[in-house]
Amino acid sequence: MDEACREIREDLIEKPDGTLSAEKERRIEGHIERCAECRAFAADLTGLAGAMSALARREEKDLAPLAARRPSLARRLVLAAGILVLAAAAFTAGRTTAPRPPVPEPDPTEEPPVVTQVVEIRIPAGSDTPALLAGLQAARTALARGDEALAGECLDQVARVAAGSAPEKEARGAALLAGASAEAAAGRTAGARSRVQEFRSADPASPALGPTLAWLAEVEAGAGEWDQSARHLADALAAGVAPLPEGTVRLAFGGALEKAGRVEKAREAYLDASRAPGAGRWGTEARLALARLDLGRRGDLAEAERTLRELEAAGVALPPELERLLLVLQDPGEREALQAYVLAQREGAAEYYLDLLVREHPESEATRRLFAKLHPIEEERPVRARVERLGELASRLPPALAAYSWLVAGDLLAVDLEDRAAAKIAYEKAARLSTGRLGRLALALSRGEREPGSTSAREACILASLE
Amino acid sequence: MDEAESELFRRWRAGDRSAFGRLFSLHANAMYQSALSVAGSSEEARDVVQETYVRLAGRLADWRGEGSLVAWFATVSRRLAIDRRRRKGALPLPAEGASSRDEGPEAAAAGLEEGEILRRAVDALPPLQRETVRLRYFAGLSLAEVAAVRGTALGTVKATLHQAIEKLRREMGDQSNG
Repeated sequence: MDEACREIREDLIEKPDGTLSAEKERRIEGHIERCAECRAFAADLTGLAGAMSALARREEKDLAPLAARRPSLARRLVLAAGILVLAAAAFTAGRTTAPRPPVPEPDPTEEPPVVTQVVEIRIPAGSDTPALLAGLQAARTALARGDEALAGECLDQVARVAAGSAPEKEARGAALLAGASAEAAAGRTAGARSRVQEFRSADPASPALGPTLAWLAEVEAGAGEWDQSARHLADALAAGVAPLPEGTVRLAFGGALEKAGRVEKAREAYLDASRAPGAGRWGTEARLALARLDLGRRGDLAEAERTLRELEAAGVALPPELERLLLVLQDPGEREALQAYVLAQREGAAEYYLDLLVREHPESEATRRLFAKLHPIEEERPVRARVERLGELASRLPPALAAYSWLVAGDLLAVDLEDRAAAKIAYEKAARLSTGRLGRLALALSRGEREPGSTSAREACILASLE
Repeated sequence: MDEAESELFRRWRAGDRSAFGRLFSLHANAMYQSALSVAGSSEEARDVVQETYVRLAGRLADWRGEGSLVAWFATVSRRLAIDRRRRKGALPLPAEGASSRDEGPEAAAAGLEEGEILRRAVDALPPLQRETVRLRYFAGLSLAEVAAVRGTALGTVKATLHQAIEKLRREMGDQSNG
């Protein structure tokens, strides 16, 4: 194949994008007429592209359940709202004497128009509790498809039905709560809060108040309003959260306080949650949260380790990253690196600890993470741009950190771009900048005596899930 | 960005979370293919797509508005897949379905439909070619988008695809002649 054929074939690959100039298009046509081999290439290319596209469509079908699986914040909110609507529906339970037909669940594989029909057919105005449940189910189905607007409409319908099918006082309460659900589903946290406040003023002794406040707190947490969330969880606990397990609400309280930056208060809440009567599983979750808090915001590696060892001794199966953490801590070098990392977090002296880490533990994941934190190289940037940014950083940083920049750049070049020659140059630059441990590592990498990006420390990679 | 995508994007920017859900669904395949081109298995690629959702939700501000949205989504997905592989210390990447290579061409071809043979041929390409083919023909990205995702020049993408297509032609030709 000569150079002209190669160019034509590469242009044939670009042709479907419609970005070729008219002149290039004409050149391709002329060439194809004359050259049988390129004609055959064009035909094969069309066939292969079509076949690969068909394969992709088949794989795409397997992706359909992803929409239902994805851990959407909005989904959590509406599911939480669903619980609240059920509570609202309970107002009307027993008020109707009509027999309650079973409520079939809509098939989640149906097309969206069917969901709309379900809403229209199953929730006529003025119908009773089963209709509320059907509306709720329709909202869930709509949500599983990612149609959060429709889910909001369903919940609005539910609110209207609830208001129309119960005696006045209950209807008002139900309507306020269902209205709060709809507000939350539409992402209007302030609206949800205002309706719950109205509900609270109208009936401060309602047994539904505690769970409702806990629900509102979750909505606020979803919107990142951690102070409000913590306040409402405290109110919920004061009002009584039954039938919700107290342990889970206390755990959520600790989480909200932690997010609001009230670290010591959060620690107390986690401890309370772990000691709550009948805490069980929630107690374990609270201890795990405590260990994470100690490790992260409090920078107390020893305390975190103590909690984890106790859980381990009690036969609790630790999450994999915490199990690995305990393993990593058995290595004195990694222990030291992690300790420096957590101190860097706590003491706000990250530059000092980074310098220490780079000199003493250049291979540690802790070093890598701290470097990335202090000198962010956005992951979404193309790899070449990240390498350029690292090179630019290297020109401004002190020698040890500059060497580290080149080491990271070398790894990117070797692992992501598979450009060993360019990686070698980057490693050599790193080796020239450091005569210590980092320099020796860079030298070994430049000579191919070490595999880039595959150190045992990196395998541990525990810190990402602890932050 | 086409008109529908622009509208969804505008709604997402205005705080409509359902718009993000739709945008995500629209480009789920591109993210999946992008992850699969790096990940060790389709199951892992699916997990990466999940992770991408979490990563992207609420990070609108991170998008600089350069290039296409699908390329950004695919880039994030690819990076997460690379990070996962790296965490597992599993680089260099194994080819998914490479086991057919061990069976010998006859055994591998027996009982396989043409689509499956093609898939295995794609999976058996060298990592760089396989990834580029997946992004272009399975994810349906334009050459410019593939270049953005891979962080490489357009010309390099064209050359890589050319080499890959030639290999696939030979492989598929061998299969049909054999």
